Amino acid sequence: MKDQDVDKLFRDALQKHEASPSADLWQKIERELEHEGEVLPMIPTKTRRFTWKPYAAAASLFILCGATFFVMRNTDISSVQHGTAHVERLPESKASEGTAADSDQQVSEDNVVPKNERQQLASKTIERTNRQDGITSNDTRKDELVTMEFTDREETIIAANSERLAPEAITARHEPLSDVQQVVIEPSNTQLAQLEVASPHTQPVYVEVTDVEPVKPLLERFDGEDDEMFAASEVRKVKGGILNGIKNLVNENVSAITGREVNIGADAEGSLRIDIGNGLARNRNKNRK
Amino acid sequence: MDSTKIDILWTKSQQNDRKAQAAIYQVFSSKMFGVCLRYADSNFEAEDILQTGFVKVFTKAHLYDGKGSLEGWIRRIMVNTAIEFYRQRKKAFASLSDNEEDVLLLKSDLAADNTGYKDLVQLINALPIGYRTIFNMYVVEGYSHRDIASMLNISESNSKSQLSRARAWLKERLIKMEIVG
Repeated sequence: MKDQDVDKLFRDALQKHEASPSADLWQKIERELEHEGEVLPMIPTKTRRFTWKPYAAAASLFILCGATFFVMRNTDISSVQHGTAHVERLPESKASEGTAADSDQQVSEDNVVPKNERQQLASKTIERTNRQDGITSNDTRKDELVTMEFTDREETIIAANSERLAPEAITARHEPLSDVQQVVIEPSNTQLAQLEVASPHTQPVYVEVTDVEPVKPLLERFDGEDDEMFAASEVRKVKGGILNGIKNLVNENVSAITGREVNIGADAEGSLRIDIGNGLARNRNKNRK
Repeated sequence: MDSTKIDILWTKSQQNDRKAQAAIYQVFSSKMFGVCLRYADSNFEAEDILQTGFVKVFTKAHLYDGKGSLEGWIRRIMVNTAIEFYRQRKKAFASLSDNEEDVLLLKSDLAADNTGYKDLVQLINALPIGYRTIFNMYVVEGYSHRDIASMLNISESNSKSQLSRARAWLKERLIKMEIVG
């Protein structure tokens, strides 16, 4: 039997082959066709579902942002609460420190004496620097304020340093720093003399002198502030007779050069007009010609 | 039922006329069920293939371009659907079973029903599904080996060798049957 014969035999047989499917199959097909009709409109609903996705994403993002805001806010509040808690605790710790300090009465007493002296020192140094700068400060208040602030900070620093530094270390530093102190003290004052006298006798005085060094940066800061303050005060002073002051100043300088008077005019809005003689104007005209 | 009537029914069923569709189904169902049976593993699966195939025929009716016979178009859809089912089953091409039980069963069937081509159908159905699919596609439907290879996702040479083995198997059974008969 050849292959082709086999093929033909089966082809003929199978192509003719028919069989009736079960009777309810058409019902099934019909049902599925109906479902197909329903499936078609289902496609837009599916797309609708897809269109929801960006909205959902946006909403989730928004919620996330809100949540983070809330969290941040809560953390802020909590931190603030913590801060207040600390503040409340501080006095307690201070009190405890106070009790501790009472036990070390000697140390505290030692600190007290030098503080006063240091105040004097600070005031002197400030006065001195002022004089050196050529600025004559009539305001005694300012000096007082400065010294007050100075001493406040110094006290804190002293307290910190005295607690930290071992007595041995302080004595070790004591001598080289004493030179510095003497240099500062030099300006003529009765109090300075007292200091010089006191320093060799009582060691605790030197202990505070060691603390003078950290004060220096404070002084520098104050110098800057002082400058600013003085500049401000100068302006205020001039403000009273600003016009006259400027007039005089310009007249003195300009009239000496040009030999002519300077006219100064000012209006209520604060604009200033200085007419420096006609000499300059003439010169300008000449140059133009 | 002549071809003009079928054409009218077909155009109606293209417009989703359910009655026309039912008439078309009545015309082709038994023929197509024969096709499905050749490819299917079981009667149940053949009905599934037929159902899915007819749903495709009616939902994609607008895709029928009128070239070739309608029956041929529907048959192609059925065969493609059957192959989809075959792929879904993902049954590996089983080796030819020389299982004596199968042969005995076949013999008894043949003895009971000795009516020509039905024997051959029985014989075909006894073929392992892989061979049967290729044999059906090549011999009955007339696909080329290249088409079969691409449709079943196998190599062309594989298709050829499977076909020759299917033929040899069928020949052997035929000879046995003649002896028995």
